[in-house]
Amino acid sequence: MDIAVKTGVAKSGMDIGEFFEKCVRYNVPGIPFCDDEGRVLGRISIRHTFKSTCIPQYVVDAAHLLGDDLQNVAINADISEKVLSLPVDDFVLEDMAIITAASPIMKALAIMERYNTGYIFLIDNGVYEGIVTRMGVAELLLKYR
Amino acid sequence: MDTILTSLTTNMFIAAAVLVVSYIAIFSEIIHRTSAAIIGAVSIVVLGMFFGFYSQEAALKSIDANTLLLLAGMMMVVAMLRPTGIFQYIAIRLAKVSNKNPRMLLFYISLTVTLISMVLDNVTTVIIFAPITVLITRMLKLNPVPYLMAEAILSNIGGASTLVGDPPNIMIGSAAGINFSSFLFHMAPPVLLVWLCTIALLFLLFHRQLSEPIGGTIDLDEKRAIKDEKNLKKGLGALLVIVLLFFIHHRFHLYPAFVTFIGLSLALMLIQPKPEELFGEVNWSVLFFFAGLFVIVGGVEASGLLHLIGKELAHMASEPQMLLKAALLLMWVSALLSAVVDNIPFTVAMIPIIHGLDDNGINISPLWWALAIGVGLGGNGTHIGATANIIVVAESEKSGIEGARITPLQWLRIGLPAMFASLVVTSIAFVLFFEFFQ
Repeated sequence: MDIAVKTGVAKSGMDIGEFFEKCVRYNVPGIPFCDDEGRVLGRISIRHTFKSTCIPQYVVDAAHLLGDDLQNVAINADISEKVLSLPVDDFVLEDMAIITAASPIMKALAIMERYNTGYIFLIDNGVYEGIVTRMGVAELLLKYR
Repeated sequence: MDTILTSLTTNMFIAAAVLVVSYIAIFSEIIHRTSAAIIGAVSIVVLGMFFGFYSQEAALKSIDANTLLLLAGMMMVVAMLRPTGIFQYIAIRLAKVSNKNPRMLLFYISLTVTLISMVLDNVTTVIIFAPITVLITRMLKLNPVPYLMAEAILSNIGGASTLVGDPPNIMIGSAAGINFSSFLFHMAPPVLLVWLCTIALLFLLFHRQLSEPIGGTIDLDEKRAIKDEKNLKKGLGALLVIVLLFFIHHRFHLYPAFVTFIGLSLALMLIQPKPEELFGEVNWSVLFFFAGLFVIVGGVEASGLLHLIGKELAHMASEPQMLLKAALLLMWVSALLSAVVDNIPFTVAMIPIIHGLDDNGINISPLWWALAIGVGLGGNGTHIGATANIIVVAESEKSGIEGARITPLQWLRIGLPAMFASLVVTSIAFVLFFEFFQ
């Protein structure tokens, strides 16, 4: 599957700041969490990290009611600094959407839909090969235009 | 005691053993309480059939359909009202009306939650009010703890005042044949006293937090909370019909459950909700838990054990003075037990015992009120005493706000005085106006 983007991976001890840097560099919403032997143990997602650290559920519940003056609940410099220094280990998600290099695009899209995610890991023989995103699939389809 | 032991039959032993094992499983949470109740129910029916003291027919008859259908009906009405956003609208309006006064904010929110809990399930009320309360207090730079605890404690108190405010009340009303108006007439005066006493106590105990200066504005648009104005009006109309019919249901010989279903049918016709959304909101686990308990206690009753206990306890309440003492004892024991264990199994077990006293010529009216007060107010004592308490504790933990976590000890510091003050007030009311409760 030539649309997979080979990204770096997160490892134990890495902080959220380093994780964000990797995601931003490869323009992906999440990366795998691997052990020292390279085995994929789970994933870290930007969305889940924000949800766990910056956006409490009570704000999400009332999102449609919020005005623009959120001085006491907004993310400020102190919170940002604190979040960026947190270890990624606390934010590892065990559920992952996975395909292999032989999998058709349809399967990748179906699994993304099933897992309610916009990305999927390409893993062959237990080795992480890259990430496939919906954007990547759209880009591929555009080549047939 | 010796008489009870010598009069015990094998059937009574078997039934008591199933009850004790089931209740241990329920209270210890070894398995889910609904699973424990269902397993216990099936066990007692099988053993009852084998030993000849219980049958499938008797088990089905022991299930109080009025209680279950009333609960199910109200769950469905709330399921239709909840998505309209009315509860969020009320919370934001109240916060704005309180004019940045922490005490007024606590008073308004508590009063509203109490009033809603008198008609609707207080757990649902707290589930909706707690998150928006945390947000409002954060915006105002206030500690949410006093407001969350007040919501839970006063919603429990509000629920204690009406026939439909709390599941134990529904069970008591159904078993004792007490109508909505009579329940309100007897329970509202003591509950009003308790409410006033509790809010004053909360002001005192949270004096420091309620004196904090407000440092922000509530930038929330309550108009956007109302998602479906048409359905809101229809849902509120159906609820109004239910409440009005509650006041007169006894005149037309209508069961409270049937009244709820009249309103529900009206709401179903007007709103036409998607069945999967409506029935998905019904808490089937709670309904099956109650049904299982009814079958277990029905089996114990069929074995003759509860009648025997009633007979033995009858001498305790044979004279008016003794009756008062028995009622007060029942109230305090119910409250203390309800503070540490689920009040539903206790209520279900107590109902046939009180009925047994009636068979022995005792005036059991005061005992029904004592039981309702005890199980209704006792839950405030600890953080696990009522579901509403557990919800606000969980909300305070989820908020992630420093100093806003409600610890079990913190709950005890506030909840226990509130519970004891409530019981003292109602005990005094009972002593002074005992005839009123007879």
